[in-house]
Amino acid sequence: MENKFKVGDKVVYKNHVHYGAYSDGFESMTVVDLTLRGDVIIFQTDWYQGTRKITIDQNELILESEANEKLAQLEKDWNELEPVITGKIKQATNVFHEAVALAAEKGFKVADFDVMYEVRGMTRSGGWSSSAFSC
Amino acid sequence: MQFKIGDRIGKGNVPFEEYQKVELGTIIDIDHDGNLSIKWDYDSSICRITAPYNLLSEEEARQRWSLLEIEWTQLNKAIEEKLTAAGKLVDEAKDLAKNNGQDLFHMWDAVQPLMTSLRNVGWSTSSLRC
Repeated sequence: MENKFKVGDKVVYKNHVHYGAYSDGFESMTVVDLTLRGDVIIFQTDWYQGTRKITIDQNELILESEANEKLAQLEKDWNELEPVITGKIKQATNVFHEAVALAAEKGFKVADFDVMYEVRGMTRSGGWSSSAFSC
Repeated sequence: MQFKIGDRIGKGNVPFEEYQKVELGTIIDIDHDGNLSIKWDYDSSICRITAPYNLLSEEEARQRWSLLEIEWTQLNKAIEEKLTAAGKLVDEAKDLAKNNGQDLFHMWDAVQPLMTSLRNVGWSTSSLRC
């Protein structure tokens, strides 16, 4: 099988290019050898295993230059997406404050009302549900 | 309001609480200073009440409680609607994130105001982010 890469190329795991709330970037590795069946051999450094040679299917890799392009696009997408999501949450927070104010107008607290189902629904959507939530 | 022994009365100043009933009782004694002894229906306890009384006739107390109940139900519905709407917005945010390969769970800066608001009204646990 033909190799897409050559020794010395900087490569990146295709699926490891990420840009978002909690991480961005990628780790590049240098091709040190190639196999006849089209795999790529690189040195990979793990914090727990140290540096070792590993063999990877070349289809899982892209060149660092492609990864940079992909990252730039992801950053652009993220910069467009993040304010929209933040805006939605702000809107949700405002609506929640309206509910709090409605209750307060009549001398109650919003937690006095039978709305745990709705609150749970809201937090579950965000992925923050927990069995202890109603405590 | 003038009372006499045997009158059925209700408390006129009890704030509404869900699942709570109007508190009614019967005047069983009136002393020479005008203090009332009342036997309450809910636990048959007898207590002495000094003027000024915050008492209503049974009918007035029932009417007051009914109005509070109606007000509560309407308010509950309005608050439920608001929270449903807020939930829908969070859902939309979640879908937006998911469809773009992101996870709302990790967007702490974005969701912190909502989490803080929830915490401020008492809906919070240390495991909320777990």
